[in-house]
Amino acid sequence: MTLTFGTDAWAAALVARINASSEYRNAAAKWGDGWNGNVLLVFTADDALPSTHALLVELANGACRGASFVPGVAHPNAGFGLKAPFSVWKDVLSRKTLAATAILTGKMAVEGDRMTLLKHTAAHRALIACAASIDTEFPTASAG
Amino acid sequence: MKPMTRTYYLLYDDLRVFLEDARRAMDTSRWDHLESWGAPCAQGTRPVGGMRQVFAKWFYPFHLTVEYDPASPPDDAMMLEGLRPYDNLYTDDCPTIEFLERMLPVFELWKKAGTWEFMHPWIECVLPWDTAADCIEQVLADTPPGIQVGGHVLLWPAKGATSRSKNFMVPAGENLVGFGLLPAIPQKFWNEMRERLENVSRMMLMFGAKRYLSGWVNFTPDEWKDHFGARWDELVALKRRYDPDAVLNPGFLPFDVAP
Repeated sequence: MTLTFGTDAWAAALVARINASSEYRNAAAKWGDGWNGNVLLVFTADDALPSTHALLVELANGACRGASFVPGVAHPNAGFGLKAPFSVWKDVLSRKTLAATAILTGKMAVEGDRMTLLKHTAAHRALIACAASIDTEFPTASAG
Repeated sequence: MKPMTRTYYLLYDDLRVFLEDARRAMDTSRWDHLESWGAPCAQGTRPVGGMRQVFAKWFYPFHLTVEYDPASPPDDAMMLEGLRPYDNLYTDDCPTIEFLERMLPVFELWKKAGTWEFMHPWIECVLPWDTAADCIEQVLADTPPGIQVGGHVLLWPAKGATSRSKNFMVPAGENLVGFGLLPAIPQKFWNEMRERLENVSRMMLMFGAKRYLSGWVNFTPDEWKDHFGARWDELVALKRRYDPDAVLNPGFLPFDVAP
């Protein structure tokens, strides 16, 4: 079933995909173990997205406890942030580019301890793969 | 140089134990040659970014060699004292001249197998000791065991003060770790491998490494400047003076031809 990006249903589908993913469970077993592993994914507005969206994904020890779109571009419960224009995210989620490339080239900004993120590359790659696996209807570019 | 060598073929299953033993081996005066690398043991497939890929448990062979006179062979127990390998596989006695040529059969095998003709976009670096294990573990977790086909995973401990070349850039520190992926890639797979290899290079740099410039380097001009740091301006000045037409580095270092 195709889900619309930015909706509660899309966020719930992401939670289900993460918790059903053996790749994520293995890769992220130590992610958030004793520290805040919640990640805020920020999709900033650009030609392909009329308004900025932020998705708080609550993650610890290879599991997801919830995900919800939240207002603003920062959240007190987030331990890490990944922020990029929506067009960059769209390329990542449609597998045209690797999330690692976006992060390592600076097209995707990292908030939080970058070295911790580097030590768990398989975990965030698996997270992105879960998001990419959702059959998604993305917003269309605004006219004019 | 003494006429004979004895090499102890040790195997490690834990990178961090290997690195500690490597440092211990460097800090003693017992050894004449140290050699090590990464060796994968294929375990099956698992999803990587949603796509199934063969993965490996990585082991670390460590060959420690001492030269000796036949009349006074080394005391094995004393030589290996304090080291903690997963296994001690073999002890090889070999004339020193043959020891020095030990890699020739490997190169011959690569030629016979055909991989000599493949692309060799080798990604090597020198890592700070403190970040080496984290970086190597991250890179190897994503490295399929097929890299062994005509290729190699470079791994060598080194002392930071060994090289006195001003333009051989290495991180600061008493101890360093050389690390690299040395794949042989059929030309038709280059496009799908290129981004991954570029990310390996970027990750090495983020862990504080300096690239070892013998392999495939695809730096931007800014990355070249970062690599040489304070030495960049002098390097450019020397280049302009002694190689004004950029004859010696076509397509490599981004030196402009002198106006």
